[in-house]
Amino acid sequence: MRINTFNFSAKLGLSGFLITVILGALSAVTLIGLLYSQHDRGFNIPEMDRVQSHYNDSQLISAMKGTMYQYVTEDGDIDIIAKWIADGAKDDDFFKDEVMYIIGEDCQKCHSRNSQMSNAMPSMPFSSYEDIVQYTEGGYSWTKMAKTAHIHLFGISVFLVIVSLIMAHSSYRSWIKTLLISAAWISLWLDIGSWWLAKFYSGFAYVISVAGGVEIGAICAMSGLCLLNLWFRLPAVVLEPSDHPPQ
Amino acid sequence: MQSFTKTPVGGYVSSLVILSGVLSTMLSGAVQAANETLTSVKTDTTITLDGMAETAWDNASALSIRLDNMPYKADNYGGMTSTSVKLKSLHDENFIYFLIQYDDPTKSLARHPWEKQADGSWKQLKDKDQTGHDNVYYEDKLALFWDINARGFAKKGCDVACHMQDDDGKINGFDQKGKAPGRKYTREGQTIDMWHWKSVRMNPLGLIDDQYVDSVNDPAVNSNWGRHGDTKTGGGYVDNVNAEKTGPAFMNRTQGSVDGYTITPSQKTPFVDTFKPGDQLPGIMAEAFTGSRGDIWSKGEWKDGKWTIEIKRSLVTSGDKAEIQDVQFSDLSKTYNFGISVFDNSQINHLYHEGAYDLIFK
Repeated sequence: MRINTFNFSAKLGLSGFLITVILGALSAVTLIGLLYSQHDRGFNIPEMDRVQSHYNDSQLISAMKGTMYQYVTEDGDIDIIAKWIADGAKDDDFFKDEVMYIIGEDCQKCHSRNSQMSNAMPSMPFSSYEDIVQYTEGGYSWTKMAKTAHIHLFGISVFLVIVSLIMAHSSYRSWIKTLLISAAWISLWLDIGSWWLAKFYSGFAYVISVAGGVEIGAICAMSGLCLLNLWFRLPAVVLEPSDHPPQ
Repeated sequence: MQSFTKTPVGGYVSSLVILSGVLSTMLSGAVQAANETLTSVKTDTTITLDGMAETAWDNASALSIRLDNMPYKADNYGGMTSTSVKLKSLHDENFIYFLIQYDDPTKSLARHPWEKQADGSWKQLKDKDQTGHDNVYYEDKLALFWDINARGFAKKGCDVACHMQDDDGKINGFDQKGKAPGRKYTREGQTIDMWHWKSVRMNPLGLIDDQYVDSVNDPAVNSNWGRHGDTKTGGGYVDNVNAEKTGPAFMNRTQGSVDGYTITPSQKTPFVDTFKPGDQLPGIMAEAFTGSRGDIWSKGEWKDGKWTIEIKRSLVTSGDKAEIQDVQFSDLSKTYNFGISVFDNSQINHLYHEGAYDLIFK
């Protein structure tokens, strides 16, 4: 059974799904570009230092360099808090005089139990040492890793298995199908596995970036190729010999 | 071997790559170019401040700013929760002009008016929220913040001066429970110019209340903390209340005017009670500021659900302490950072944006 032999309605349904997957992938790329760049709009190339910070730095520093960067008055503020964390994140005079001043200026307006601002985060107050110190652990905590990883693994695998099956029933040569399907799954495991490994060695941030790129690329490539296979006659060079149209 | 398609595989791939590239470039360019800069265009035309956009404004490009953040949830606030402000700017040799337009479905001018009761007494209408500030009987306002030398303003905008209550209801250690949810002040030695357009208290007089924010963070020093009026030599506004505080002291010469919620000097008439229950009189008397506090001219008009406000100020001011109270557009090659907020019939609750915008001259 090949997808190009499906009836018109089935092709329509599959096309809708594949186009949605491509749009979803582009949305994910957009989000990643926004999260790991200084921009708050448009399509951006992720900056490696921000990726490294997200997976290797503490949540506090990572947020100040990443999603919360717009609220940080000056970059020097991040350095001061990073120094405090590197020195053991103690409840000392440096924390009271320097760290809390910056937190007060840059964070507490929203990160307060009583905040009613439009972007209020009363569930994540930064009002005391106890509130703040829990976000000073480097990289993903066990809890965050488990939570984030299982959501992504389950979520991506659901549509990836469908895309893989559609690809498997396309007319393309076996090696093309094997390559793209394998690349998508292996890069998924490498990507998410490196989230955890980057906690211990920031170089894994590069693995995250490369694997993520391959993952998105493979998903988009499979979806795009299947769309072509559904609606267009393809050249023999990419088709299985058994799928060649009659001479 | 017969060719199965008119387009070879290279053509498909190339087409897809080119199409993706073109689409990405177009989308990216369009989004990235989203305007964050207001350009003030040189003009030789005389701008009349009448709250109407004359044709001279067609030469200036518009900057649109979405305002959809608020500092707190007032328990009696019924105003807008978002709006978009459109700004244009022109300048000549001596002055800079701004045209500001934003949608506001309600024209709110009834700022603490007196209302005659059925028993013949007078009551000043007020309806304050949990912080002691009015959102029902107030006025539409707008504020422009101009950076003078505030650390971080170019990135964070007005936020650098904003200080909200902590978990204990304190700001800088002072108990503010039941008072303001936030206060404005800067760091030591830093100031921000604040152009406070008030539709009732100053608009009838053709002025903006020129204010500034400094580092005062103690209510014992200044009840408005870091917010101050610029130096003035006269004028201002006072409550229209009699000595017994039981009714108005003055009234408008001409009654029934839609904009009659302010008593200006030319209208000021001793109060004579010939009114019937339900009639209202202004709760405020205003006289044009003189001195630095009154050196920004302005006129706003509300029509069909939209405020149109025209503003004029000298590029460089020379009033007392102008260097710390006023932004000086003295170098037209520089970028000037600003922020804007809108108060919809609200005393302190306001719609604002995050970050700062740039003004440049062309």
